Parts: sequence; C-alpha cells; structure tokens
Amino acid sequence: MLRVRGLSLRYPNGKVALSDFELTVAAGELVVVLGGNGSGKTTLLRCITRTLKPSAGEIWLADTDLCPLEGERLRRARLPLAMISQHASLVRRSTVLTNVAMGALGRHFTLHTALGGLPSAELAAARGHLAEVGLADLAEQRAGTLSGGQAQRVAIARSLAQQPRVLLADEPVASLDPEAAEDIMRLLQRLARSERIAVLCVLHQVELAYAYADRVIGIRDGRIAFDLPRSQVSREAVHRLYIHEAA
Amino acid sequence: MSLDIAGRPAPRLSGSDGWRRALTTAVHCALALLGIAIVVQALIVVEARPQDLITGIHGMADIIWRAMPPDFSKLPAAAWPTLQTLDIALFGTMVGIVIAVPLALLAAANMTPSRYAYYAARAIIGFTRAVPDLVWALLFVTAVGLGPFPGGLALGVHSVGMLGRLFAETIEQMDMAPIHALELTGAQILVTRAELELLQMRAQLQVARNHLEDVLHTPLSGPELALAKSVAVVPAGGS
Repeated sequence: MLRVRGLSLRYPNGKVALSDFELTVAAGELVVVLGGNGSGKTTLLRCITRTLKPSAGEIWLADTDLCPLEGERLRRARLPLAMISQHASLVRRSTVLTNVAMGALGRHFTLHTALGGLPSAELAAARGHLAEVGLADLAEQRAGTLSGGQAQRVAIARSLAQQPRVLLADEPVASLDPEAAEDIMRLLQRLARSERIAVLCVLHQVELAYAYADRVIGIRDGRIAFDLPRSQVSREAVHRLYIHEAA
Repeated sequence: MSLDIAGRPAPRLSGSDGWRRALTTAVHCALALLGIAIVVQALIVVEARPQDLITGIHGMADIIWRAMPPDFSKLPAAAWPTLQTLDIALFGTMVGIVIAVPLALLAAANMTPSRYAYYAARAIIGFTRAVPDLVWALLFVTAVGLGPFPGGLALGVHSVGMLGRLFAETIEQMDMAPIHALELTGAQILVTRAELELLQMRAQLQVARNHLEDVLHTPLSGPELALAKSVAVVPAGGS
C-alpha cells in the first residue's frame, strides 16, 4: 500500500536527513519505526506526506508516486493518506463530532462547507467513527474538555473520516500515560487489521513496539539500521539505535 | 581579607572590573538625570501650576453648582443629534470591519498569500490610521456633501487602521496546529493558500472570540464615539 524507494533528503545547508530510504507497509500491517532523537523518523513521515520535498526517491501510495506531484494533483493523490501526531491538534472550541467530521473536508468543497457547514452524511459517518474509537457518548462534548488519551482517539477518528488507506502516526502516545498509550496502540492495531489500513507509526517506547508491531524498522542517522518482523528484532539491535544518543 | 557570606575569601575585583562598574553607574545616573530633565521641561512648557487646582477649586464647584438641577427641557432637541452621533459610530464601525477583515487576512504573516500583499496591506492599514479622522471627513464631505454620511465614512476608513491591525495581530497569534492538521486531510485551497472553511473556522474560533466584544463595545463606549463627535466639527453630522 505504501512503498518508499530511494528516498533521500538533503537540507540546503548540506546536512543529510534521510539517505536512500526504502520501506513498504502493506494493507493491514502495523509497522513501527524506532530511532534516537534526530535520527530522521519524523523527517521520514514529513517527506511521505510531502510536507517536506525529498531531494530524491519515490513515494508510492497504491499506484501513485507522490514525489513528482504538486498543487491540486498532490492534494488529490494524498487524500487516502492520513496523519496523526503527538498532539491531537483538535479545534478545542468545536464539538468532538464536528472535529471528526472535519476529517472529511478534503472530499467536499461546496458553498455549504465553505461557510462552515458539514454534510449530514459525513456527520452521521463521524458518529460511526467515534463509536469505532469508543467515544460515541462524547460526540456533543467540546474537544477542549477531553483528556489527552480521549483527544488522541478523536484525532484517530478524524483520520478515519478521511477514509485513509495509509495512516502515519508520529509519536502518537508520547504525551500519554502508560495505560492510555496501550489503549491507543491497541486501537491502531485493531484498525490496521479490521479496516485494512497500512499503519506506519513512529515510537520511542520500545516495549510498545515489541507488543504491537508486525514489523519494526530501526533508523539511525537517516538510514535504515534494520527492517525486521517483530519477533526477529533483538534487544541489542534496538539498543544500538540509541547508543550515540546516550554517549 | 574580606570574606563572602559563606565564609570564603571574597573574589577581588580587578582594575578593569572596577572601571566598568563605575562607568555603568555613571551612565545610569546620567540617564536618570536626563529623564528628570525631560519631565521638568515638560512641566515648564505646559506651565504646570498644581497649586492653582487647589486655589481655583471654587471655580469648578461653581460651574457644577450652576449646572444643577439639569435642564431637561433641552433634551428633546438633543435627542436627534445624539442618535445621529451613535449611528455614525455604528455605521463607521461596520464600514471599518468590512474593510478591515480582508485587509487583516492579507496583513497577517501566517495567512498572507505573498510578501507583497502583506506589506501592501500593512501600508494601507498604517496609512488609514495615520491620516486623522477630520481629514478623512473633509475629503468625504467634498465627495458626498454635508451630513452624517461623510462622517460615517470618515470614521469607517479611520477605523480600518485600528481594527485591521487588531485583527491581523490576533490572526498571527492563532494556534496553527489544528489548521495544519486539517490541511493534511486535504482540505481544499481557495483564493489564497488558506481554505475558506479553514478561514471561516479561524474567524469563528479565535478572532471572533477575542475581539467581538471589543468591536461591539466600540461604538457605544470606545474611540469611535469620540471620533463621531469630532467629525461633527466638519459639519459631517452628529452632535
């Protein structure tokens, strides 16, 4: 579903952030990316979303290479690609339901939506997405009143409203307590399986990677250190990813 | 040997440290003297005589005394100009908002579609504020004739300076994270790089919340009312 080929990013100052990066995430698969601070994990996700323009390489979303696209063509091609990050980034003064339905705005552009309205079909679908993440009873609550774990669930529901085929998650549990973090990871795993979404998740919590990932990719200095099924990832290999950081 | 508070030998100042400290003290003293001199010259120029407030207080009391009881027979005659003044302020504020909102979007660094539009919008906002309302009133009187209408227009254009800057600064302070998150969902581009729905959401969420009170209160209690009174000098309506 998501294939990255020879992806490289060199900043104007000459620093190489990603070098010849290759990865594949299949539909229904949850792949976790581990690596130290500054290793290139977030840069990888930002390149895939094309928030950053790669210096070289290909990013295939199903049958479309995002790299050469710009403007409206890029926007359309990127619609099946959703992203959640460490902070849920909800519109705090809107209701939970509205926040979720806003995830569908990419598919609708009418005078009604331009003036702030949301299609009734999308509002109904948003209720379904909220039920999927276990927050159906909070639909009418203001987003600003949610806990961190609840807000992250709403962000995931918003990404479901986008009808994604690929979901990128940038440290989605970084600001959550261990129990909430487990909840979110369980949810991502379940969605990957049930909705056949390819999930690429950047984590710092090694234990969560061991518990929930189908495959683990280790990054060090912008390069892939390993790309293995969870069961084959040794503690030592993971430890080596962080050695230079501790030194 | 001198000791510090912990009983350790206090560090000795080198010669250059001593000079630097003396120089700093001298500069501070000079600045303080300069500040005092500025205040004193202001008192001299305005011919400030605070004692006259005490000795002349009976004059103020006499005026207040003679104003009592109020002569309500003048009230009906003042009603119409008063209403006109309030409506000029209201009309001026509405005109100001209509012009200021799009200008503010261009003048906000996080929303503007281009650097040129940013500087142009900032320049217009600055210009409308720099030109006094009375000058605007004179200009509009020559265009549309006497009456309250040119007064309202003058007020509206002059308000653009204040409201435009206020709105632009508010937009710049907005939390962009929800906007970026929605942009990643593929929300569509309209006239500028900002989407209309995002625009609407921003306005609804933050600008309105922060400044709606200001704007709504302005015609009745703020500078607009003072301006509405002042344009009456031109004769552009109001009392």
